[in-house]
Amino acid sequence: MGHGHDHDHSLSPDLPSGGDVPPALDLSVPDSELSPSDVSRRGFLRGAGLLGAGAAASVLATPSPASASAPESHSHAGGLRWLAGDHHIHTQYSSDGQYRVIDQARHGRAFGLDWVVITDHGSVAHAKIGVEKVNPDIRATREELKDLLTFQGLEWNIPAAEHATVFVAPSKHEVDVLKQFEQTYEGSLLPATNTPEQNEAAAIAGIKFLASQVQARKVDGALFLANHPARRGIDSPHEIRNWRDADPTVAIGFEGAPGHQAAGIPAPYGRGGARGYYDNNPSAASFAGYPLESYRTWGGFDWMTATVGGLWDSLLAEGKAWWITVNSDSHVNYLDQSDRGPDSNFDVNGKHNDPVHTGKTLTTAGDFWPGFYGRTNVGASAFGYKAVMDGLRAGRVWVDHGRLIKGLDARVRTAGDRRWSTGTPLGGVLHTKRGTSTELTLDIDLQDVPNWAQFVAVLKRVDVIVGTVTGPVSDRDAFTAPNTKVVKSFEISKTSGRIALTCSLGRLDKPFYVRVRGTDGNRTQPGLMGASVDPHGPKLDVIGDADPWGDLWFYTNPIWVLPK
Amino acid sequence: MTWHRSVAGLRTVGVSLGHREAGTADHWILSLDPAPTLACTHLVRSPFPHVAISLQGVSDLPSPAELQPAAAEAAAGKFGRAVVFPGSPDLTGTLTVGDVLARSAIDRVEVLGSGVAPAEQTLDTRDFVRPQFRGDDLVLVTMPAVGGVLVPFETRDPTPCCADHG
Repeated sequence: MGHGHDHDHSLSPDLPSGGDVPPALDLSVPDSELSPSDVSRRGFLRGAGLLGAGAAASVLATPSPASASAPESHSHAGGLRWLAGDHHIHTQYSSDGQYRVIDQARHGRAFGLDWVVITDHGSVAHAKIGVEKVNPDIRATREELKDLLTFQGLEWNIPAAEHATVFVAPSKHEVDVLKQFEQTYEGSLLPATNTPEQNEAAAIAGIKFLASQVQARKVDGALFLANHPARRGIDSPHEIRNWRDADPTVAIGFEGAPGHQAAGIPAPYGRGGARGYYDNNPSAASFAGYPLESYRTWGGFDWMTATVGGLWDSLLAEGKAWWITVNSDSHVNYLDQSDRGPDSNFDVNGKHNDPVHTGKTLTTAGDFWPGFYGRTNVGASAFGYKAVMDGLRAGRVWVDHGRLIKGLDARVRTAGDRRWSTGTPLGGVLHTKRGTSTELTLDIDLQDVPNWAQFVAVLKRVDVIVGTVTGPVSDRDAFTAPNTKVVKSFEISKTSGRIALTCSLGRLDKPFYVRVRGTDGNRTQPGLMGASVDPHGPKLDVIGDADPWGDLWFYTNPIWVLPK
Repeated sequence: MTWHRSVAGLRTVGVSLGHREAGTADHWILSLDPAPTLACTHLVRSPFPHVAISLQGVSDLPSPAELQPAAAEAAAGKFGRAVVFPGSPDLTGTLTVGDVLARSAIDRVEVLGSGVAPAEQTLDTRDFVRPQFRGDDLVLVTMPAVGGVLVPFETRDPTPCCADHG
């Protein structure tokens, strides 16, 4: 069940599930028919250049409290419970995997996870056999490990792009939905003669299909998260925007950091490769605009997330809800001593035979067990499948490596308001009057329990990152946010207990968002947008010399502050 | 040392054989006899994403009709990734950045995310050097590696998609 700490606060209104455009943003409603407050809101947004196509599909369209459904409808009697998880895990049903579902699940549980998603690669064999055959194993795991939420998903070869986690809420239709999805939209099954444009359209159709299955009540939820997005430069900015806009209740984010974090451990003790296996070069399928920096990791994180003022920020600055996660991508784990079962015939059986103990230590494996290194912490209203999916969709998420911190509560508040029941949490939108003073409050529980490398991680610095919301972009391949930068850094000297940090966000004169990052301070360099934007950003990971335990970071998702 | 592309006074020939990967295009380039004086790969999107080639110091080479626009694009390309260039055969083993600049047509060596590399810095070429043109400048991007040396950004054998990770 939940570890870390529980909170007993009610939540701010979540993002809308789509459909209802507030009158101020609905340009088919003339000014004359708006309420005075909506006229004022529209005027403000117009003045800020935030009206127009796309605004309705962003946080700009979230109802202001005056027009929102009563906050009570969003209250959660039990408060927030932070549930750690991993949405990117392979098993013997992947051609390059080897473990049973229960192997991965039991390790994940033992290493502190509350939820896991089984994501074997989409493929001919998986679409035909594996997607069905894995289900009884997953169901048995749910029975065996009642304090672990085990979702069924798959790792989609997104047509024309990288991989993505796709998963659904457990239901009697979970296999049907995933199987139909895979057989229709799996990139490796589409005609090789498809043009990139046809494949990009298939990706959008796939996301819409998932949404249709939720609407048809086949499953209670379906989510899409792009995996290792910058690894090969083939997730172009416009594709990411298109996935998100295809259905923002399904396509909710990407991996802020890839898995395979053991791959950079120096030889001969480790593989001596690249953290995350990020060692690629631009190819003909890559987006030509991406710089070489995008093909490597920075402090273990993907360039899209690690760059302050980079691609992720460009989405947030548009007002697009788009969240980051951290996962293991476990296939074959560092220092494990098992191997694929002998005499496996993956193509015929859709799986490898059960792993066997060999006594040979896998020093060149690049992965950690789920939960061993990274975790995605979701603020859920309860322990349950739907609550985890709802928390992910709402962006109540922060991530860390190596258990850098124990717990975190970040909220934007009206300055001075310290009531426990108020404040807008991660992923939320605070609507307030222009001129109102707001501040970010951060309560961080410093780590006092050793991580799985047997040391207690020490937090040295916390950075507050703020970006102006500038509205929809005209160039959907934009990947910079020139108005985003680190506005405040806190050097942390305390080494135990809870620290309470406050960062004034000033009087509200234009819409903005705020997000937070922290580090052990071991490896930093000026950010890629310059020292004035990010004086102490994550450092380029060295291929062959990247001890993941010596370079720890946490990142939060954003909170928006918008004028009423 | 600067050898501007035009200074060689040679005509640039474009060729496209539809190579999907830079590695196979490299292989084709390195099998040319006589060797070109300059050979670059260019990533082109049309009629499908592939690697086209520009060459100097060779006579015309035919491209399939449907790939002739790609060949023309490569011939005009300003951002070629150089496989063969003046001095390239001498860039083997471990050198200093200064050696690289003195021995070859490479105009500048940079460290990924950190700007220009100092001349005295050691570079392990790993016998695989693929600088890229930025306009008239031929730039080699490098990264820090084990032992405090630099290595070229591009590795000979990057991890393929869906590798067998064992």
